[in-house]
Amino acid sequence: MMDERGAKRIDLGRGIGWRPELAHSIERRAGLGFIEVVAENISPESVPRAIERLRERGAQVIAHGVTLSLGGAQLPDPRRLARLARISERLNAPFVSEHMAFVRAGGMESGHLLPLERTRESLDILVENVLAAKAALPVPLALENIASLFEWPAAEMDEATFISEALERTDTMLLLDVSNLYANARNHAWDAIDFLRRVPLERLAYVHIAGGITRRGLYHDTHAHAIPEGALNLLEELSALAPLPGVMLERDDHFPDETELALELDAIADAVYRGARRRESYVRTCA
Amino acid sequence: MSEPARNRINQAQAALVGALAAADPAIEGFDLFRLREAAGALLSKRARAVAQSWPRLAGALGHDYQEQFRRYAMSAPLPRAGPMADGRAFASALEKQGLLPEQARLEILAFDARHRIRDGRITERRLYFGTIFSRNPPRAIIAFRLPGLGERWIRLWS
Repeated sequence: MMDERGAKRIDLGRGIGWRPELAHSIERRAGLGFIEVVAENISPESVPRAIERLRERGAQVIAHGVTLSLGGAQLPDPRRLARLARISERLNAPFVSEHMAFVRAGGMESGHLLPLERTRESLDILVENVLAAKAALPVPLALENIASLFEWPAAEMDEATFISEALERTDTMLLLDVSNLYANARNHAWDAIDFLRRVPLERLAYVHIAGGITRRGLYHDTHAHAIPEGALNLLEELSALAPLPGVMLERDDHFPDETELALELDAIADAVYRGARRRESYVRTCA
Repeated sequence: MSEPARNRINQAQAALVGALAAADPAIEGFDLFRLREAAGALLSKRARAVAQSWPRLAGALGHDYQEQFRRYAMSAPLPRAGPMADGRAFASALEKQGLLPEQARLEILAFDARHRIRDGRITERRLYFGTIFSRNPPRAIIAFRLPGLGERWIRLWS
């Protein structure tokens, strides 16, 4: 399917973030259209057999980077980019994804995705870095929104504006993390549905959703707990606004057993379905 | 993009990374409570990753693990090479203070016999000679690596 900009839109279906601890459950789950692998954790020379078996069954594999530091002060490291390019070619990935964040500065690693200043200056640097990354990658790049418990002072624009401008100026796709959106909207007291209406959903590559927990009044996006109802509701709202090319669960710790995992995947599918029904009935009403 | 802008962003981001790694992450203009929560979450994530990479070390420390790791992490920046290197540095810090549990030594010897950490990367060793001597339990273990011969382990008694 081609969209109006001539870009290839790929229907991925339901997916999950591949982790060695989940490999067995993932293999036994029928009907997964795609998996996402953390590019830094996989060597292009020795791709785990379990991933190859999923590919043989027709699952698409997306390479997800976490260390490019696209919002950082330095241009992305050519060696990291070359490795990401190799892994995406090795897995025949339809695209590569990374974050609108930084992970290192002043020679220090933070070990985490940290938020960017929402200023013109910081946006210009992100755009320049993303364009450099795009030029070095053999497949399209999708950019993900992150969650942060705190914000930089003196923001010049809100998150929807910052993200929309970054995507338009770099002509990249959006990896929308519904749970990160839920977390930020809740922790910083703004309207998540307004955000969904303002970002370019026609650029949507796929969607992340994950669990978290509330501690001392702040919502922590842990990827180690159940998906909160609020995030599932937001997924439904998103699905009511636009067709979703792919939705996947991220789980990184306190790995659930197969039943719990199946329930989470079903809850995701239900939310997407409810939203799609609303969108279709709205389209019919208008026609 | 101008160099001054990149320099300014680098300084601001470095100040934030430094603050988040500190025991008390104060930085002008930021919400202190939220920075503390974020710093706590980062430390837990780092400790969990090291415990997963070094299960014997974490297991041997037991309930002391979190506190010992926190003390180490406050003064040691996160190594570029990831949790394996972080755990190795943690073990060295414990050893210097005489706090390294005996049960953790085998795991460390096994790592050292294969790997070295240099320039922020974990690489394969070609040569190695290392030993563990202990009275309680009484044992002596020798591990070495030689080109052409590979890795060999010798247990002398116990």
